[in-house]
Amino acid sequence: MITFEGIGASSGVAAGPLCFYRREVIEIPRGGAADVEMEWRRFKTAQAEAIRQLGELVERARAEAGEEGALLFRTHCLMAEDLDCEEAVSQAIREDAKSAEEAVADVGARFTALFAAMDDVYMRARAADVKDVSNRILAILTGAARGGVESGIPVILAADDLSPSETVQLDKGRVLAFLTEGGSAASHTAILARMMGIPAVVGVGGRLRAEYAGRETIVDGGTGRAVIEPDAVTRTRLLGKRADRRTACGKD
Amino acid sequence: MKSFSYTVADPAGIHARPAGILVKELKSYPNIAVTVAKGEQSVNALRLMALMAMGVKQGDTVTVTVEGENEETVAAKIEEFFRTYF
Repeated sequence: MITFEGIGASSGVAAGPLCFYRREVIEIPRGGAADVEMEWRRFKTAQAEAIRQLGELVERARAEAGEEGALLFRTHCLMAEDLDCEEAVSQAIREDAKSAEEAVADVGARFTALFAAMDDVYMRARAADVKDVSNRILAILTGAARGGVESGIPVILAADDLSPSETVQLDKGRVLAFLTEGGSAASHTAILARMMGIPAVVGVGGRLRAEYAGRETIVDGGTGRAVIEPDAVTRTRLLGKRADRRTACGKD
Repeated sequence: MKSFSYTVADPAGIHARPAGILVKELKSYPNIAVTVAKGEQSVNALRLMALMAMGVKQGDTVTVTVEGENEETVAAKIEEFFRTYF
């Protein structure tokens, strides 16, 4: 039995096999811009596509997580069209002769760092949103595929961290709970998990090893604990909480 | 020019989601310029990232300046918005 102590970001108990989130690594070509105006048009096209995709996500989030969830992606939309970011990308392409990918990666990293360095936990959590938006534009520019769950059965989804986009785009029928190494209760991913009613434990630190894939796992979002291969006593106790919760809900 | 001061009551300060609604709302007044100032820093309220990066927290006082068409009416609406969301 392996126990993890993290932050309970969304309450509820769920049990199932552990599965790691599959994500394609985005490679940034580092060659600079051959044709500056073409790179700028590539950026504008990718930006427009990102805004279109985010418009769809607003509707999806509204259906699955309610109005607050929809609002989150509307904010991503505004970040994608933010004038300061656009000017910084324009400058990187036109003055520093960077490719659209390099410009978006560099500007995204700069704005992410700006939020990550703030002294407020809520604002620090916004760095993940900025990164999510810049990764969306980069994925469009490079043609990288979206990540997902490689499993036919419902699983406890493990990841280093999940972005708000990754969270809302998942097939909810296959996700019993979230278990992540990073993240905080103030992250938009945690907020989404709560709104979707999926238990989540975040911030367990870099301890989720690839070899745990497929092993029985129980996540308790109420206490922020997760166990891999629980012993009989722990399993009965944790699953008992799930039964209690159901009974309590049934009485309402 | 019309301006008002507001002390942020929301525990999360001027945060992303309502700041996003504010930007959207402001876009419906094309002939109006709105700036939000905290101490010596001042940003155009349409610029979401800059507004968030100012890091306005609960208890901070900001000065909001509205300039342009129907500024009296718009300023009153924006003040109401701040009271509701921040």
